[in-house]
Amino acid sequence: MTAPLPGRSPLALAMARFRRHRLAAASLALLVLLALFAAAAPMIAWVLGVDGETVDLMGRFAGPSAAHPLGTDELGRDVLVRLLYGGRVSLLVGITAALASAVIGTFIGLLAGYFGGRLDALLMRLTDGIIALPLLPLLIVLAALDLGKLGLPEWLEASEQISLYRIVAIVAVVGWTTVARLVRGAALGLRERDFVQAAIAQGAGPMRIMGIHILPNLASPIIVATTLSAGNVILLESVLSFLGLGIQPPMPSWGNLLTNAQELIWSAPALAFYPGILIFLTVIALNFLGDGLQDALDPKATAR
Amino acid sequence: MPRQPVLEVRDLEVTFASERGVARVVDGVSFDLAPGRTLGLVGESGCGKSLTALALLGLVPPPGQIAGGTVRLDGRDLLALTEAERDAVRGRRIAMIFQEPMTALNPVFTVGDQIAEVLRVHGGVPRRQALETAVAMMGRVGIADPQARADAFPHQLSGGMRQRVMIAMAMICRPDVLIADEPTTALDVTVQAQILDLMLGMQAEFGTAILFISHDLGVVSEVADDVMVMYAGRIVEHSPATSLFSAPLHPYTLGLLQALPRVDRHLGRPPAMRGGMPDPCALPRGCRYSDRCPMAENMCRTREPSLNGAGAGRWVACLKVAP
Repeated sequence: MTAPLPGRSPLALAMARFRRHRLAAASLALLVLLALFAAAAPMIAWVLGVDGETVDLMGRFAGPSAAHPLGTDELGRDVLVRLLYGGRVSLLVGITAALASAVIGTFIGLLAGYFGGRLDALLMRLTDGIIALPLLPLLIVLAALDLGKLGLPEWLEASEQISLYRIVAIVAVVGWTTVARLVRGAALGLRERDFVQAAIAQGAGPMRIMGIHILPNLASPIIVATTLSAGNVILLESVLSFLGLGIQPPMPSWGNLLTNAQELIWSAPALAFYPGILIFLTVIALNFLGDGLQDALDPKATAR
Repeated sequence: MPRQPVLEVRDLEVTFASERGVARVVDGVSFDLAPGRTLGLVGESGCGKSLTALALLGLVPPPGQIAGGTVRLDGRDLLALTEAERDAVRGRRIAMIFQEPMTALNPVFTVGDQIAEVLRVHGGVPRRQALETAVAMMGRVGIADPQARADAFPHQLSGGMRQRVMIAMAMICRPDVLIADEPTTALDVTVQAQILDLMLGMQAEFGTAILFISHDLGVVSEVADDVMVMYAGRIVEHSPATSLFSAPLHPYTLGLLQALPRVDRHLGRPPAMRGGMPDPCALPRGCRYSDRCPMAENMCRTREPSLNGAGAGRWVACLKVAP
């Protein structure tokens, strides 16, 4: 006699709630589509028979055509392919930096919230300290650091991707504070819950309790915060690239494509329009997605 | 025939430091627990019975602390162990069942995983094998179709079912001692009887010693071999259950029994005990019950009674009954 279980698993319930959130579902679809196109950049370039690096001075500022669906830029490079390659970089930076901050923040917040006392005070003062730092000047200084003097191996320093690693590291170093505070607050509450007391009574040590009993209960706030922060990171990357401190050309990113376009804003406004609209859409989609996830994962949270 | 006790508690003291002074909320509690026997611990809310239970496992929440005494499990003092050594005892040798089975289960795990987790903490048993043992245990605690129920989350089960899960978690390592803190208070009466039967059945099977904490004398009379009555942090009477219920010695025990509604006699409304539990920071001088006791005399307000033998395996802390 197998009676069906009443109700569904927390995950199934969350999925059902998420699907009802149309804007968030559409945002997710848009983001997946963008990511797929960005991932397929080399293939699209191959199909079109162009690549993002070839300079064609005879075909500068060409309008849309079969070979160049969005035309060419001031050096005759294909705009669509460069946008897609730029999307790869911007999305990669956004996602990895947001994930890295989430990992650091979760670790610090969990330690502070679970153990409390002096460790909590120490870690939270550190967090306050980082929050109090003026962000932009700090980022400018960090971005201008001579990495060779920090003892990084030469091959890494000379690598083309160094500006990418650098920006991910910078954002992670200053970006973990939001998640840390969030996780600490939640862990403080969870620590007092009966099931944590029960786990202690069953002989589970602190590491096991944090990892197995507390962390899974924190999944929803962490996922929401990370989604929202990915959007902020993409914006931040644009700002840094705009200031010439982010991703270094010739590697394209949405941020430096925008920078590049600023002097041509009158002669070729489309060059600024495309990366601008992509940044706008991505960031706004990430925000909608974050809101949708919040509602789906935490039905008790009051609607804002 | 008295058996060698598995758990010996002596002079257990738990204190809470507050702005108004140090409150000794568990004061000089001593008792033995023998294998296969059930010891009831009764008292009003706030008398210190739950803290006594938590202290046995070293789980007194701060700012409370264990200020003294020994808790010997097979002769080894648990209070002198390091935290890691204590973790090895908790759950495996001494297990605990909590009052509210909803909040004592982790909402994001299936109950099968949660039962299996106890084995993994203690035995380092591989996941699959732990889960199989957990499902078998769910069957033994009377959960129908355990294979399917193992994949259920706590909110998908009824209160009685959840308490069965808690019992399965507590008993899966076959502990020597089970501490049950108000295990049936959150359940309705029919389910309560089933859960009590289940606990006693498990006890008969594994020879577990049970410390059964409750404010419900009716429940305690059904399960306990011996009963301790606690008042304001002290044990005031410790007697075999049958004699305690038929002929209570301490005036407080008598008051508790008289306050029970009865179905065999028409008495109108049962008399309520007057007054309330004294403030643990400002206990009355002498006997702690003296300001509520209908039999109190002057000596009760000056001398504090100790727990003295009153014959027939009975102990009572009252100057008038056993001076």
